[in-house]
Amino acid sequence: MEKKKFTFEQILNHKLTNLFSFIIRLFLAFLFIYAALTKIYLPVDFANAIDSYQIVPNWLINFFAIVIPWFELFIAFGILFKYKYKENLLLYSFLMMIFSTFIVIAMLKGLDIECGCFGENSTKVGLKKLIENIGIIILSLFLLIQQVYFDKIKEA
Amino acid sequence: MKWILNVETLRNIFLITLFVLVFSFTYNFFSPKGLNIFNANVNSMKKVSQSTSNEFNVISIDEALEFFYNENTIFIDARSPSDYEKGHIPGALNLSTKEFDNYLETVFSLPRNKLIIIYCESIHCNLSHELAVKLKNFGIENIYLMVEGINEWKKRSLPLNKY
Repeated sequence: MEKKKFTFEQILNHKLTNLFSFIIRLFLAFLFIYAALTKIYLPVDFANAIDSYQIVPNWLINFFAIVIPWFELFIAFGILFKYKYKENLLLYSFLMMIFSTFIVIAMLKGLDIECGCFGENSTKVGLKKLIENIGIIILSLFLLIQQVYFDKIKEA
Repeated sequence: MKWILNVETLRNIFLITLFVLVFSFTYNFFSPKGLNIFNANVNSMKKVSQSTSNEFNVISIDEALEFFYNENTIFIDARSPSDYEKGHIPGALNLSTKEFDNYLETVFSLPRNKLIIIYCESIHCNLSHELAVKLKNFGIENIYLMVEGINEWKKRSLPLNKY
């Protein structure tokens, strides 16, 4: 009996894939909503967390502490309700890459600090956190690729 | 790549960014917890009062130094015993926040009529604040937090004990 081979397009369009995408979309959105709210609630703690990485110049710390949580919140809602979906997925992946880069730099510097990801509930910077972030980036890129593919089909 | 980064996508990203910037700065302006946009130096003194509904008094290194010469003051080092041994304020008691349950005898023996100043590593360290909350739950008042921590104390070459 011949094994049925799925094409890349069929995999992306499959019911199970769509269910998987739906679950990932909810997960990514609520992750960022939670992260954003913890930072908006305690902006000074988040500013101090940024400072602890010793990367951002002093005069820019508060700027990022003010802006990043709202970016996370709006991106999360954009993904949740599929508004400017592709753009928000791009921003999501980009933000996660920036956060991961900070973690790598902190690890190379040997800093024993908290990541600042979820306010007071943040975990320490380290390999485990980095792997988690890479996993999240992969999930967001998967959704992005799927959306790009759907857009391509629409335009064809 | 054109399917990902075309003109329309870039325009939308720009608009999202602009919207977020306007919204976040407006919120920050009206929020009681709003930050001073281009000056992070004011953050350390706000830290404790924002982190909990129980406010603790925050003191600077200079103020702590004045209390250092006052016999009615007790300094408490909230770090681990190994960090404490590497260097601490002379006369400071070690009461490790993470091993709090092992220090209950010390907690019960703390005099209630003295000023207690708690410190840990630096403003990025939360141990002093966590310890203050625990001590307050044990009925200890008169707690001050030296939020700049032992790092700032050392930078100023102030008295230090090592084992």
